[in-house]
Amino acid sequence: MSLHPDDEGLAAEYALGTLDAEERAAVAARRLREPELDAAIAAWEQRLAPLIEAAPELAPPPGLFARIEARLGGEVVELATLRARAARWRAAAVGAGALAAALAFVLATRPTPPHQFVAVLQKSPDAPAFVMTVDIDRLEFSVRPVAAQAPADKSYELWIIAPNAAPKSLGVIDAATGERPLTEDKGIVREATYAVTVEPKGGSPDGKPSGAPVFFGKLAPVGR
Amino acid sequence: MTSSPDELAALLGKIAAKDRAAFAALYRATSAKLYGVIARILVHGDASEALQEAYVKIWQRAGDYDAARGSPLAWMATIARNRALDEARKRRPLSLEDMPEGFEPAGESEDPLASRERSEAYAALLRCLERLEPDKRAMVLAAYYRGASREALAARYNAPVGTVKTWLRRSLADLRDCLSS
Repeated sequence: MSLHPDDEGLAAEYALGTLDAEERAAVAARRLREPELDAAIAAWEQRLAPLIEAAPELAPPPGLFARIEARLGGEVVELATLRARAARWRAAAVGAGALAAALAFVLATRPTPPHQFVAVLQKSPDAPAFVMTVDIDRLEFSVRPVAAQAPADKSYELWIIAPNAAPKSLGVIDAATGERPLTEDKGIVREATYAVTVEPKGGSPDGKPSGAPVFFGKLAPVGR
Repeated sequence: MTSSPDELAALLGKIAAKDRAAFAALYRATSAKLYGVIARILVHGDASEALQEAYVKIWQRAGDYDAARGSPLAWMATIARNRALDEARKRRPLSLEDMPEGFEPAGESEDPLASRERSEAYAALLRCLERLEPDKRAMVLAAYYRGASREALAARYNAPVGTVKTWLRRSLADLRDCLSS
């Protein structure tokens, strides 16, 4: 075992569950950057997993599945997952090519501090896809289409929907735009729902979404 | 409700391609198990919230399931447990006595060794658990099944937290060595 003995113990306790909140969060963040630690945790999870067999079943409250389904809105992938998938996508077949290339670009060219989110906004494999990055600390975001071509006389528009608030436009999505500022506070940026709609060329004329979103979803925090 | 690992793995494959019907089938087949795991760690309302989050994560990550790293159920239960533990640690620390009812860790009131049906991996793990001192084994099981923190274990076993940490790490190292021998 090439891992430092302290880290081996830390990995074991992480899998067992006895670390306190701070230690858990620190380990969760480290495992994203340290493949050896990640592998040690996975090995411990695997060693202990047979105990699941002895855990008695308990029926969950009724109605829960509908609530889960309502939360599936769109595909918002955590960064950790994204890294693993980007590698796979790079090698993957046609169709995923553009997406993989965009992700490889995003991941290769940007450092990923803890408050950075990268999300693929896509409802299903054949639906339009967008890559969105959000930097919570700097309150900036960027979004660009990947494998998403708006019809000639239409534009894609991005919306932020704060809890219990009306959708607010974050602008039209086009390939040329870079980082843009967010005016909402950090809590709202983190909690809000993001949606993409198809609008007349140049964006919604009245500041309201004209139709149902082609995508909606929430940010998934990195590392927790 | 139980399904074979192959059936569950096939469902995960479909879910990776965003198949909602497969996701519903997976929920029917596994939610009682996962809720059983979570509800022993969190109190009622928190447990159903954690279960929802666990399934959302399973939906998002189904494509990452790797059969080489364990059974589908173990993979899902690990996601559910980690979610429950993150939540449990954010809450006021619970003593073991405050913890949700309904299950005494195997090794305290139940005899895990008496379990009839067990996989080879489970049998091997039990053999190794059996080699630990009874208190140490009970600690490991209370942590695994009930999400007991070092603090809760320290209070229960009347020992300093640092000592509990040392015991846990030694016990886990013993388990690992036993499993690999």
